[in-house]
Amino acid sequence: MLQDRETDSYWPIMSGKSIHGELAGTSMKEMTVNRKMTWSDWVSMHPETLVLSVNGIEDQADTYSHYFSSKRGFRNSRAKDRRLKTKTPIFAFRLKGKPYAVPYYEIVGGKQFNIGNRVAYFYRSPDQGLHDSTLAYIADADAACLVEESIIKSGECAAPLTGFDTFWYNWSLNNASTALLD
Amino acid sequence: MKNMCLFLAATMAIMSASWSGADEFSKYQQILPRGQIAAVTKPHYVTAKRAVIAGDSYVLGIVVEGQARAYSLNLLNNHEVVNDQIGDLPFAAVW
Repeated sequence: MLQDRETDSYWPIMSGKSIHGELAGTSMKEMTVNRKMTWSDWVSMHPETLVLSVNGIEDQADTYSHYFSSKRGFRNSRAKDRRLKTKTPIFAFRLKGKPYAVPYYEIVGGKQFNIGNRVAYFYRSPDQGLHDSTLAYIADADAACLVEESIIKSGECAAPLTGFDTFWYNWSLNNASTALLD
Repeated sequence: MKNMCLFLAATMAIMSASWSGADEFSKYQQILPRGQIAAVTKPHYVTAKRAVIAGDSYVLGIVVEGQARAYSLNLLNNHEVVNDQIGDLPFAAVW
């Protein structure tokens, strides 16, 4: 839950819409310009990058490795929606307010899905780690974009689709009636 | 919308499948006192050459107006929110 002290407003991260405080009902804008990847990959793409440093430290040991490798949710939370296992990694997003999710295993090597009059493209490389961002784009159905890695990676033809790389339990507990793409 | 200084108020995810109106907030369980997880509100940066990061450590990277910034996920484990701004764009990097 994100909190703004100035307005005493609160946003559940998974829904992005404030549920309390002066800014209740408002939504945050998700940025399409962010990616998660290894430091080696990032610095090779952006050698001029600046790096966050806190108290003279830019990195430290991973204190959540056990959580990410286990089958249990945070504080043993479990998905109530049993269509997927609790810790199934997914890419989740919203279109016109409706929540969607696609499991990672469906999009390794790239896959497209028709959603209404639009087409969504997703790509994960077979050698990607859990924390690597999913590439996701969306286009009108008549745009005739090809499902090719180079096309999707370059972002040509289709617009970036913002969403969350997360676990099924985390998304489904906060987004009822999620449409599952499989 | 005002410039926001965001913090993470640690709560457990809602357990019920549906919610509405004023009851939404009450459906969350607080598991830590407010401010227990200290957000980074005045971020400091170093260049890539000066940064000490393992090559296989993961970062959250952004590029805004041609400026690239990276936030180590391992570092964000302890802070979870970085209040940042590039040019006229305030944003929160959240992990």
